[in-house]
Amino acid sequence: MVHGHEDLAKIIKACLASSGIRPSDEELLKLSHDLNNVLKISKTFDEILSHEEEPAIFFLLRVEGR
Amino acid sequence: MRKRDLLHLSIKEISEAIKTGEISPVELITSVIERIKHLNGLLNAYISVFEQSAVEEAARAEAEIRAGRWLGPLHGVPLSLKDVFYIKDTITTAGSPILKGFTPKHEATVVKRLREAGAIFVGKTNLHEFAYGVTNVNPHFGATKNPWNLDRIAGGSSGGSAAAVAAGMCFASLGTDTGGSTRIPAALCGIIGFKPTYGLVSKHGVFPLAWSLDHVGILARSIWDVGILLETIAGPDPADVTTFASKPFEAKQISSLDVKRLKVGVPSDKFLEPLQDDIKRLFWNSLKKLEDEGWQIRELDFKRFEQVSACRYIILLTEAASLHAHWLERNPELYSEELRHRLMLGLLVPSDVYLKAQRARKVLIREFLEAMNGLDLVACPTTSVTAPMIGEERVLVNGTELSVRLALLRLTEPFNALALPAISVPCGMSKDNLPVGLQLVSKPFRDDLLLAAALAYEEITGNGYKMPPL
Repeated sequence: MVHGHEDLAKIIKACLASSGIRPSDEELLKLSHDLNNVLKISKTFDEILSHEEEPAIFFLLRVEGR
Repeated sequence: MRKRDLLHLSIKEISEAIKTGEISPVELITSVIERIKHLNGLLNAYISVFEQSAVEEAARAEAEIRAGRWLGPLHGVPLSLKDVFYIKDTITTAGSPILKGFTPKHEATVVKRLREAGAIFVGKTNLHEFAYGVTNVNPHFGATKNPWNLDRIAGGSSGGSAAAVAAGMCFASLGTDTGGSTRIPAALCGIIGFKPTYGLVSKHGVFPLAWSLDHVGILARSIWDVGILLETIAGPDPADVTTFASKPFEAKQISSLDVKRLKVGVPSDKFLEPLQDDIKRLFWNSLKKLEDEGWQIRELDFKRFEQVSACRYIILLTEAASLHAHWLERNPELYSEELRHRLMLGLLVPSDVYLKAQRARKVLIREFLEAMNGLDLVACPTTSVTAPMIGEERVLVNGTELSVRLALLRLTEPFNALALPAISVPCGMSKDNLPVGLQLVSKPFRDDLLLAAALAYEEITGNGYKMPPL
């Protein structure tokens, strides 16, 4: 779900405060913009994964070799 | 031979001179340290120099060689390390004041392996703050300057290593590569930058950026040098579960493999463009020479580079933030504004988005390898532009404005997410006398074929390391 920037800013503020991190208002604004982009990007992954017959498994930090 | 020229020889050449006694390791390390003292004020390539221990190690190497106990081609050869590699009881900064006073109690596996092969560590090199960036403009340790033009960046994040190798301040260096951090500075400084297949080289004792994307990289002046360094550091390591128990890499394979009629895929313009005119011209000129020698050049049928980069972006944001969360809470003021922002953003990425990125990555690796069926290699330029000016944030690339970060990173980063071996080799000089890099990529664990192809590329095109005018 893609949120409005103001809603996101509130969520971000609460979320980071729980980790003891307090961004400035200016930083919050930029974070909400960038987080919105992250959430949009995640739709790309849904599209890739939707074509798989079986659920693609988690990347195991190993690549299939020869 | 003049001392300056001596310091620009390859490891292959200098090791022969050491073995035969033509030059002593002590003389050599003394010359390297003099060169560092002469140039480091200009280039800011090194964060620390180990003058005393390096001279002592060289004296030991000299005695061993004289006594007939030559350990091999790295014995007595001065190397440097990006300041993320742990040396026992030696400060590691990772380019940040946050780790102030951090002196690891153990050595990185790769450091141990190089030391056992007789290499001498002359110092630790400057990097982008926590290796999280591609310019090497470090707010805490200063910008590393490009040996070809002091107003321009060396690239990063292994920029100190690239500048040091290019300028003859060591014979090779170890860097790291999470999105291009070895290949980008190598291209901008006119040397070779190589990252192996994910899992071929241990990362134990290397300060991480993003575990599932990080690779140890090699910066050198000849392909043979890359091969001998890789042979020394590659192989399984019980301390790093991501390493593969693969067949050990052997440098001699580089010159014995048949690389006469290689099949090379070139990504479509959608991925390659925009490119600086000089880069486009030099890239296609090089491919033409390879084609004339029997290599088959065709278009690579893979259209999902953008999605691969999206995976890398999310994975990098999340893994780096997880590592830095406690420092970010305690010492936010010790991060640059730019890095603090990226780390905060990473803390906000929902866990399902990270996991989906890793799952999608698996699908994309499979699809990319399918696209490589019938091909030996993929080729593309290493960067979209030559070295930007220090402090420049945006660049115009053939009419399209890009951030410097994107202009440098976008052609290298997919191959970290894809976990494939990749190398940047010199591809000539631009009209304003700046180095250009060409990138070759091979299939997993075909690092041998990749290096053999890079060697053939050098021989066919005549492109290779050139000494900068310092």
